[in-house]
Amino acid sequence: MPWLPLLEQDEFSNAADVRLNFLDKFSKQAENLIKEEQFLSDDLVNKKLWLLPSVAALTEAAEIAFATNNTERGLQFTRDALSKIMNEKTNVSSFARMSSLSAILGGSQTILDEDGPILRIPPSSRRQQFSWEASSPVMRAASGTLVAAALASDKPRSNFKLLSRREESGENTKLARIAVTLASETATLPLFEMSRDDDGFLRTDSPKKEDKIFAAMSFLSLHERYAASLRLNMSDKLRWRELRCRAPLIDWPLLLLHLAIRRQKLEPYFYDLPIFMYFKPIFNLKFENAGLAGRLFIFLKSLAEAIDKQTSR
Amino acid sequence: MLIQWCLKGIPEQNNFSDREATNALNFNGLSSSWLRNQNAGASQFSSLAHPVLSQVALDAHVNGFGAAAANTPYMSLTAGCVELDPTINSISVFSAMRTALDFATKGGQCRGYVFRMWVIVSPKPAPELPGFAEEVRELNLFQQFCLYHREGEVAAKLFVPARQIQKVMIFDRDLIHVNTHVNPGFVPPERISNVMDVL
Repeated sequence: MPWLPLLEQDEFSNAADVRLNFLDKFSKQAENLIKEEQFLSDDLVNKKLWLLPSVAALTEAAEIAFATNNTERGLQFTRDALSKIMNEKTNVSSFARMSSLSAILGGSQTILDEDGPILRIPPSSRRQQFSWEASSPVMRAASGTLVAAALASDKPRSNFKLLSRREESGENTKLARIAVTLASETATLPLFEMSRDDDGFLRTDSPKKEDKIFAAMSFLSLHERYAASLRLNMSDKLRWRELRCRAPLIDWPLLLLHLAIRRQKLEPYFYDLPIFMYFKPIFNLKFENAGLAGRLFIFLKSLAEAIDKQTSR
Repeated sequence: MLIQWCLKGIPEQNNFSDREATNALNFNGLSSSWLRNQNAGASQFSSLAHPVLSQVALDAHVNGFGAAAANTPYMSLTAGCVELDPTINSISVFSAMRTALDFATKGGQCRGYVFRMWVIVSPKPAPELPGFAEEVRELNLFQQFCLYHREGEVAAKLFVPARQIQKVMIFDRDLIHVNTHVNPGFVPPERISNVMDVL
């Protein structure tokens, strides 16, 4: 039963319901509300000023639902958010969000191609593509998210063409490759049977056991990042009680990595790695012995399981 | 100086209903809790207000509102904001209307009022000086408030005059727009803009 640590069920159930209802109502009525407030002209209405606020509200609602054992509703909010973005002309700033949302729902494919990221979404295999040049700093900032989305996608091992060795690459491609290499999520690639050489290009042989152990440690350390984000949220006690969060409740790239492990059926092998022997108490659900990062690991693992069960039907 | 449109959401409650909302529009304006608590006469206003405006007080208002709410000289308005979501690293737009409605209806639990107004904003922080608002959402100026960026806060000081308030919109708990009252004495910000007409 995935329930976010630090949210006492008795204390937050009601706040979650209130918050979800508000965000749901706002997202559905965003167009009328913002038009009413701004006396918008037809030109401005055409620019859909209400769209991104509506998507932000739905994403936040999905986070709260996922955090409070309401996976089915969370997935519905995710679908609603994705359909709003997909029905409009996509821009670079929403591409990372589209990749994340579609990867959560499954069946899509995020590809880090040499020329730019590509997103394919069924059933029409609708395709969105940008060039690394067009995306520039926004896309590079989103590198970690794109890596996680690519790993959680269909055919993950074919989604990293950017990291294939080429004799010559353009400057933008090189910069994109560096950004992807620097992303924390990229350090987990060996867990998915992708090894890299010293230059960061993919190798054809399988990663060594030592590389997988390092990758596992990188994966675990990402949960400290998540813990820091939650501590930030909690620091404002008034708003935390109302779940008016200042930072995201769910670490989406990390959730995608958990989903990737599950979808690629790596779990039995993954948890046999020597490093995980040290974490036996965590996997035996002895929460009282685990720090926040450890408990978040358990939470995301069970959330990924719940999402996978619902999306693979 | 900049002129910034803002919204403020106030829930319907015992001491604030349709009458108080239209009074705010027509002559009272909107006041901070500190000002509402004062019983002194107008001649003492300046000396009483002088020490309450400070960096410390603004920090308390933004970072510790739970404790400061009852007697803060600042008033939270919202102008919305665009934020780079730190985990998805994608743009999220948190509209002023959403924040104002959230406060006005207590998250969809009651009827409430959303006021639309303009304030003058200083390009640099000056929490001690009355007369203009602080753009707290501007992280280039107020890095210490980055925790609370999503609400797009602009902190007005002491009060906002009625003539700067354009209208009040009334919403029910389902966020359905019920009514709008427009201020007949509203002065548009163009009156003080730096666009000079020909002689």
